Amino acid sequence: MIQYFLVFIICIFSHFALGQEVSVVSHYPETAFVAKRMLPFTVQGASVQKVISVITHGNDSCSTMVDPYYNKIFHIFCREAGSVNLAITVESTDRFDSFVTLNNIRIYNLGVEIEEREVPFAEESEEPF
Amino acid sequence: MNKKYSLGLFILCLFLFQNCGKFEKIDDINFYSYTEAPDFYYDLKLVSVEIDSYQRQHYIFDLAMSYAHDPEQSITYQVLFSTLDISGVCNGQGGTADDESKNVRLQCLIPIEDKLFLQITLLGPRGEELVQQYSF
Repeated sequence: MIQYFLVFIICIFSHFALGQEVSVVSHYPETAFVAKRMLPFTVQGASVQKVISVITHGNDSCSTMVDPYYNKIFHIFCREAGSVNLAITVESTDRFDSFVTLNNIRIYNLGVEIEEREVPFAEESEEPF
Repeated sequence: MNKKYSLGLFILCLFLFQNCGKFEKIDDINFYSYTEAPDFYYDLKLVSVEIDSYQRQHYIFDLAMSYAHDPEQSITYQVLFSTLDISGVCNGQGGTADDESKNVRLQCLIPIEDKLFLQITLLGPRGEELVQQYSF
């Protein structure tokens, strides 16, 4: 009986350990998080196989999808500004799926500048078209 | 008669109820615009067009770009401007995009009667190249 209990405990701990290995990296800096722009994210981790689902909370105008060509990449698209939370389910090579959350992703309206998100201007060159 | 009236009222209520629901836009599923596996993710948005006292249009754009195969990899970008008459109407803009500089603002000042053309070139670390043209 105690063996089953130990296996159960190991499974639980390995599940949490796997969860810690998974990270989500945005392709764009936060300054680019504006409404009506598709925002790509990659899920990274040694055991990550693919993104199964992405669920949004907190901003009804947001939609999500897994990239049809890259199964570790997902996208969010928000029609309106506001904060959004993401719950991501990832399939891994291990027995259990992983669950990752991204909280309080702030989506801005384009052109609305606030102190912490001033987008830099590109450097100029002398190149003709 | 009363029964028929009640039934009619019930059907009317049911019909009205069915049509009171909120209609959601479903066009968002089309936000993905790539038709083949992309090497780059990019998005150009027009932030503003202002006309100054010399009757020139001041365009400001917001460009976000990234290497699809590795979000932490830097890429090289170049943006060139043109009108129908004048090539190189504004100085080209570009450089290496990494971390925060994967989102930049571009600006161009042109005469009010001209149409503006942009050409964006993105270069990846393994020789990938993407050229995209826009007109405003």
